[in-house]
Amino acid sequence: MGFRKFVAPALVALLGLGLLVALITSAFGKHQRDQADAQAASVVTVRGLVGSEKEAFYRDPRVAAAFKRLGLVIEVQKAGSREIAARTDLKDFDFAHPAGAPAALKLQQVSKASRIYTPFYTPMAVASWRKLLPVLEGNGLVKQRDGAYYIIDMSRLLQMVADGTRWRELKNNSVYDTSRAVLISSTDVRKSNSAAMYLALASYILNGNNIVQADDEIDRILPVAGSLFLKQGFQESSSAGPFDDYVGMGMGKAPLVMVYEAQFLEYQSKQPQPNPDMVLLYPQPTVFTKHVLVPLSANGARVGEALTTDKELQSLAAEYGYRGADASHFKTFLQQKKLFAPAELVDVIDPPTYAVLEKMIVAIGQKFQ
Amino acid sequence: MKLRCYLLGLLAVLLLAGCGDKSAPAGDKAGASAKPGLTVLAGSELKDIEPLLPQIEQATGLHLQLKYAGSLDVIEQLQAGASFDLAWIANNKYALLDPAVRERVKASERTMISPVVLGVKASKAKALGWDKPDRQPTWADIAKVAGAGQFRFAMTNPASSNSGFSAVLGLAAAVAGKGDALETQDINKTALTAFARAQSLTAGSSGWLLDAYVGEQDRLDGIVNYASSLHALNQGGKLHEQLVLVYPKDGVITADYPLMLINPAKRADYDKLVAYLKGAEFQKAMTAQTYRQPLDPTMDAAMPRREYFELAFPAKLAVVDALLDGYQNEFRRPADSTFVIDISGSMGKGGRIEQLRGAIAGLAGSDASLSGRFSRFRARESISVLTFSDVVHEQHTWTLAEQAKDNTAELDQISDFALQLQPGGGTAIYSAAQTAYQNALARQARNPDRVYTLVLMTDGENNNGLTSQQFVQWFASLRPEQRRIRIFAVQFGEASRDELEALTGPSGGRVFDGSKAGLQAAFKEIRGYQ
Repeated sequence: MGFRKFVAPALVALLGLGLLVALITSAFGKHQRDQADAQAASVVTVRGLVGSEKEAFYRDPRVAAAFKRLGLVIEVQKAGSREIAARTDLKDFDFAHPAGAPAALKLQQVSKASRIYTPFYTPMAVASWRKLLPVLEGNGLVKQRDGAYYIIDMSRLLQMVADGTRWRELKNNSVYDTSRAVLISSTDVRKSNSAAMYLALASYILNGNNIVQADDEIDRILPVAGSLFLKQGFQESSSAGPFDDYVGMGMGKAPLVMVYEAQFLEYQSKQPQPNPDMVLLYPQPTVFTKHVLVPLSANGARVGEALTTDKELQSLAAEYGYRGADASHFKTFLQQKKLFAPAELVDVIDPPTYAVLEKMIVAIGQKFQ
Repeated sequence: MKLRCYLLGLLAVLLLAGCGDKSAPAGDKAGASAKPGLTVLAGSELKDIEPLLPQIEQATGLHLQLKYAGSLDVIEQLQAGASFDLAWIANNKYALLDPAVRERVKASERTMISPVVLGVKASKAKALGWDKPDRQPTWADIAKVAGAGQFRFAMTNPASSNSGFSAVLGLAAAVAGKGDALETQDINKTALTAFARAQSLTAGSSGWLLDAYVGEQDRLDGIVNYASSLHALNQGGKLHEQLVLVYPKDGVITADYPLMLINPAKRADYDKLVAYLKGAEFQKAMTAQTYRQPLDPTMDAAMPRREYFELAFPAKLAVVDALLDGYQNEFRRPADSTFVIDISGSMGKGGRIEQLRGAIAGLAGSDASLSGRFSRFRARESISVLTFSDVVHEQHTWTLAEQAKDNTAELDQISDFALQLQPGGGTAIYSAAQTAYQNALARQARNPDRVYTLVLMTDGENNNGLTSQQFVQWFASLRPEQRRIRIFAVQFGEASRDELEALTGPSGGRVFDGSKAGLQAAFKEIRGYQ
């Protein structure tokens, strides 16, 4: 009640003041008034459906301020990247920003968007521990080159997982003495893009380094591809889950975790000192998770445009560990935070089409029953 | 919308700041009554968070109303659509395997960490060679020693409580020897049976088990519980001998206390609460208060962290259910359960006899709910029912066979027996309890391997036969080894809580309230203790 008593007269006063100002400006001439009107009218509210991993970015006040400067106020709702294309309420949104190109391309088909934007991307990588490097290197799985660690034999690593090879069976292993099977932990492939990208990568390797296309290829690789997920047991549905395990429970729970490079770098950048025990391994080949923005309205396209052209937004995206077309932002971020990541990844594959990926996911999902 | 809220908030702050002393108390009062409350369905393990609630409220402005329940009960309430804003339990992986629960959980964020491990008496740990952190036994070692009768421990019922469940799952996953997620065909019955044989004290909740362990520590070698609870027990000054924490070498299952959003309308409050709970202020206070580990590995824990392996949690509900069914019906020591049932005239009032009939028939198989399934009479169990009014009636005993499929006829008989019960006459509680106890003692002498318990249900004051005092005196006159059959009581109707506590206390049992949640719920809860 007290508020209203206070607020109402204040509002009246403000309105009065506004009127006065308007009257005065009108006296100053039509030109100035038009300019002011244009500015006020150009701030539009834009609604977006975004993958959960980008929620923090969109809600960052600095990001909001940068958009505001461009006349945009962004309201986001979180949605599973795989679910976005199937939503029936797409008309309520101006854009969608899922993780992973397959989901975005499917959405582009559904929404008939003429142009799409890829403002940033992040490679899939495997978070691991410095202590494990001698074992991984000693077994010819990992090699250091130009300061970065690469998983040079993904094919053998996947085969080990499929065969149920134990850590104890690896040679020169005195640091991880356990009968646990060698596994890369991931999210639930039925729910989350990061696991779907792991599947995209694994399916390529299992298919003799070819993108899976035909049904008979799917049938052939499914037993091994499915076991990569089934053997893990319970999996979290959001990409934060396995990473929380990695950070909070350490090597005993999570020796190898499939993550977005951005996740790892963002975590390290927020520590007073980057944790030297944590290392990121880059699969060779790897696959990018492209964060493709699909406009659903003209205003949605403005968001895509802003993210791809505005320097400040690009620099802010780099602070979340993302790479963009202009590599300088990412480089600056790494330098400022005393982090290391390879400037360029050369051996990068394309994920299969949305339809093929979906088919594989559904088939693996059935094995969980 | 959001902007408007902020502006209003800002105005409120300015207004309050400008109000001066005389209007401040009024403002506070209004603030308190308008404070947003959040209803939280919480696992009973979270009771130790209670002292931190004022701090949470002060920092976030959110008033948490915690309603406690056992782990299985929480899952069942979520399945049934109980309306809570949030749920907060020790481990939600089992819950999330259930599609109905998964549907209701809109978000889930872990808040603290504590592995489920073994607390072993220092001398025993030394004798077994388990006292060195770098030379911990495997689960198979533990099962072997347990099977040989060298290690008797307390553990909760894995079907009703998360700590017992985590230990049994850890054992099963480790001895399966595959190094990845457990599958039904890998469940190793020999190892599980060896382990289960040594479970000498059971309970439906981890907290009650800790108290019961204190009472019976002299005849036990250890206890399965959360590492944090074992630290608290060691610090509590009630132990005759300190417990060494044994982390099985091949791994354990860790509780990570996820806070779950159930009511999507409370998303903003949830986000705010999660941010606070994960923040340094709460995490520091939490580890000091509860001995659990903070989420941030770089933050100091109240007790030094140990390195250990984490075992995989199964991906399939069927695997977990097979393990729990196996534990109940195959692996564990079979139970001998006596039900001493009041069918005096007062049971004819207000649907009481109908509740009683339904509760027993429920245990005999008519209750199809999740908790109903796990509280059913089990294969190999011996069930005795002794009814009484002013006189003690004849006792009926049914012994179930090893195979669940062979028990249909027996279970039907128990159910039929319950359904024909008729109220009438006075109430001779203590004479009935004495007779049933003596009968159980006689069976125990013949067959000492079973887990014996006695449940007394009454709705009134004793007015025939032995008095409460006489029973207590008689009980005290028994030899110590004869006083180990736990007596549980269900307080119903006009029954006297004090007298029932005097009856159950000396045996190490406890009283359950049958009036609030109903007889069926009370009976099901007691099944966790049998």
